[in-house]
Amino acid sequence: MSDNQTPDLEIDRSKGDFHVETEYEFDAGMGLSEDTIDYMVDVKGEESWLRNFRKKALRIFEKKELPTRWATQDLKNINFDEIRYYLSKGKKTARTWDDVPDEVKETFERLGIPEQERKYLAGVEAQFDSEAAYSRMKDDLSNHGVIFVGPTEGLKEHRDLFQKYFGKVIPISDNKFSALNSAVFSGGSFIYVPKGVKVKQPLQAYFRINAENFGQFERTLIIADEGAELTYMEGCTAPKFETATLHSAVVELVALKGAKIQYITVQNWSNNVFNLVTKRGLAEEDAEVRWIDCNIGSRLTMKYPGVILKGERARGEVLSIALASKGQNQDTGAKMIHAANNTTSNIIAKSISVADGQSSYRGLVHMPKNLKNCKNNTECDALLINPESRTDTYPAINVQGENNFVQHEASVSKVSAEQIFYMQQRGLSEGEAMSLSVNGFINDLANEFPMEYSVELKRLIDLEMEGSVG
Amino acid sequence: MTTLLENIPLSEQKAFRQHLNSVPLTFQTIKERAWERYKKTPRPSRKDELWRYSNLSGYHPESNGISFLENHKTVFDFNTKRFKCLKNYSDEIIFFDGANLSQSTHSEEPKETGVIFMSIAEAMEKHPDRLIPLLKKSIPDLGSKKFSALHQAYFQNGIYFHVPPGISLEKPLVAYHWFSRTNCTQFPFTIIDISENAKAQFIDFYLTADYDDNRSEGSPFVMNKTLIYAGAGSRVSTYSVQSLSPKSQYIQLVNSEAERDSHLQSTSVHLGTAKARQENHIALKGSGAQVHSFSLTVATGKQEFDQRTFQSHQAEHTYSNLLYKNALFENAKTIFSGLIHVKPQGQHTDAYQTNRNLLLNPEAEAISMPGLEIGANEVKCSHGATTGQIDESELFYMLARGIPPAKAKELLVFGFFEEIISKIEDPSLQELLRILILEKFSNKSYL
Repeated sequence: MSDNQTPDLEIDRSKGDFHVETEYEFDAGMGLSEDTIDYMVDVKGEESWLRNFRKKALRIFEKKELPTRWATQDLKNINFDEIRYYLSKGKKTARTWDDVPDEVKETFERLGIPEQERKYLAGVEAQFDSEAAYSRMKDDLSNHGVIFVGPTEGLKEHRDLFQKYFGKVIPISDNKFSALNSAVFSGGSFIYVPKGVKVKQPLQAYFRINAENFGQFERTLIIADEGAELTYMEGCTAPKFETATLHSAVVELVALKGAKIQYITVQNWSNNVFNLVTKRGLAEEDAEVRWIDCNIGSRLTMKYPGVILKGERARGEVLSIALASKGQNQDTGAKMIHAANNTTSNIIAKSISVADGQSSYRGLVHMPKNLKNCKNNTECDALLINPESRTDTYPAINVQGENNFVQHEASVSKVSAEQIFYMQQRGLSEGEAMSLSVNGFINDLANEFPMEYSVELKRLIDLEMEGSVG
Repeated sequence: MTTLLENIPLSEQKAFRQHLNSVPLTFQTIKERAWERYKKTPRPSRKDELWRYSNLSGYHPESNGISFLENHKTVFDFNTKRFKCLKNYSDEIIFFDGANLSQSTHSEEPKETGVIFMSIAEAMEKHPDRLIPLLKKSIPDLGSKKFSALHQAYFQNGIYFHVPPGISLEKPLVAYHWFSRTNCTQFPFTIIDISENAKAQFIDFYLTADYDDNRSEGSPFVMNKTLIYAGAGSRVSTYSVQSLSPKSQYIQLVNSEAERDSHLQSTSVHLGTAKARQENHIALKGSGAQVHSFSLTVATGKQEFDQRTFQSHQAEHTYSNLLYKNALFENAKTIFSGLIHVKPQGQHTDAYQTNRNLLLNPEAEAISMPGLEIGANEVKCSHGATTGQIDESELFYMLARGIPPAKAKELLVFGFFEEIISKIEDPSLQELLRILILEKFSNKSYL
């Protein structure tokens, strides 16, 4: 049980650890200025209101400070002048599989996205770098009036639909990185589900980063009209590069009266990626927004999915799992802004820190004084595997009003030696016992994930835990 | 001169010089250094994480006018009735506006044991060798670096309490700090220095004279610094009760150090002031150290209580348990921000942090920021925060038995506090606290 017997752990990222040479047809060059935006807008053929929107965002981005007074100093290592802000394979989004360039197909092949998978995935939007390289939707979905496009197409062809909420849930000036995304976003998903339509199969998109020093700034806006329901899945893997890569997405969800949105993320960027994401949902009367978030990869992740509970009886939920391995910092959390009576929210966050990995939970629960009968439950549990592992918890809870109730509980623990000993007595190896305990720790949350993700997650954790008894 | 971050008015510079001339020569360098530190340190700002949610306006202790010791020839007739119930204590020292008023002994305990219980003013004359090393130590702060330096520059009086190794004092020692209703800033200093295997209890009160009299308009700004040192194997209990007049302000900076196998229990009760900030830094320095820290606050009117705590586990097998309970009435506001910090050498730490807020009015606001920073893996740490109202079913039960609503609510609030009051060893102190809390309730119809 001595500490120095604990071997260093390394995630097996070989699956995503490759790089295919691609020629980029449109490249806005390094660094960010008004010219970059003009170039981008011209290439994409965007309208002038969007040009102004992007330029305004750029000015806000330049003015805002890095949040280093509360977040990690590692943010200072991002050199914004050495990043390519716009790259595109071509102006037009590919429609059929045949149109997809060969080297892009090769990348997908290596990633293991089988063509057959698309048969049961409602609409696969595989994202290659900043522009959707491949996008297809099942006929029955479009028959129901479901719109599933990229932001450029969404804002051009369905402007009336999307402009109303675009940049409203997350304003440009929300934080430095939301401003950056608003200035240079490209790629992502714009989805509209009409009234009463319940999408049975999850919508899915794969994201890839495939250029050195290239930041990916996808923008997602999902609108579920009254009584509509949908589940959206987002999974990421990225090849390893030598210099840091920046990923800064903005995801806005709008659930109108009685609608339900479930947004599932499995984040497994390679550990040189800065993953600085702003995600927020708006829940109207009787609506439900649910974030299921799993962070395994990246060098630094800063992500605090939130729900604004705007209508009566709205419900918000954040379920998250973070695994911080060697050299990683998983700075995650949740925000619940109650803005109507009888709203409820639930946050369950679990983190596992391995080797010198660091995980943090930052939370915000807000109930102002004019509200009645609101409830929040927050649980955050952290598991520390090795002596040098680290975990922090910083919740902020602000409560006023009548008959509101908030409870927050957090605990930090390790797998107890007794537990391991008990299992070893029954013939399990130390590693097996450890992995069993850790899987037990996240089991109730892992079950909330779709089956294939939950299996993959458990397998990954198994791999991590082997021989890591500290 | 180096450039100053803010202009110190000449009158203040002069006031400090005047103060400096009134303290013994041996302390002047320390105070001068503190004054320089105060000038160099920037004022806390809204962007400061340690002042998050705080209303910073009004935290200008220096603008209130610094008060100087005077000899109060007339014996001040303070209302001692309420404190008659405090029994079974040994020595007591009474201060009025920072000056010694009286010291009396109510105990048969032998004095030749080497116990020192005297005012800081006296200790500065008699025991500079003991005080100076304590003053030279740098003290961790939770945001009030500037105010801590100001305190060091200006303190004049307070309590010095020292118990030599192996001595057990069975009865508590008491200090009363009375303040007049004048606009002045006071810097009471409390040093509790308990040696190895000794046992001691200490109670102090911060009170405004003529509590019920609204004739005089002024109100004091009281800045208290308390240093508690629990030597190896010692048993220390401290109680601090603050019931200042409704317009006054209070900053309390407490720094506790618990050595190997010591047991320290500190309890603070906050009733008065318009605005109060508590900073409670607890360092568990030796293995086996155990610290309990409790706080009880009744916030009414527009009162604002800002509570910052830090549990620093620096050694193996240490235990800490922190419990802050706040009852909020009317438009009151409380801010609790706590942190459990476990250093990598703090294996086998057992640490708990709990904040419970009871909201008795929709306008009241409770903010809770319980935090954990854990750098060791063999630990058991948890924190919990709840904010809620009186349980409807409990209230209904009482109403059904004919108890009027106001009385029922009062009983339930008392029940909420009883968890802390019951942990106090001395029954007469328990009784006194109940009286003080009840008095605050009866001043206005909150319920």
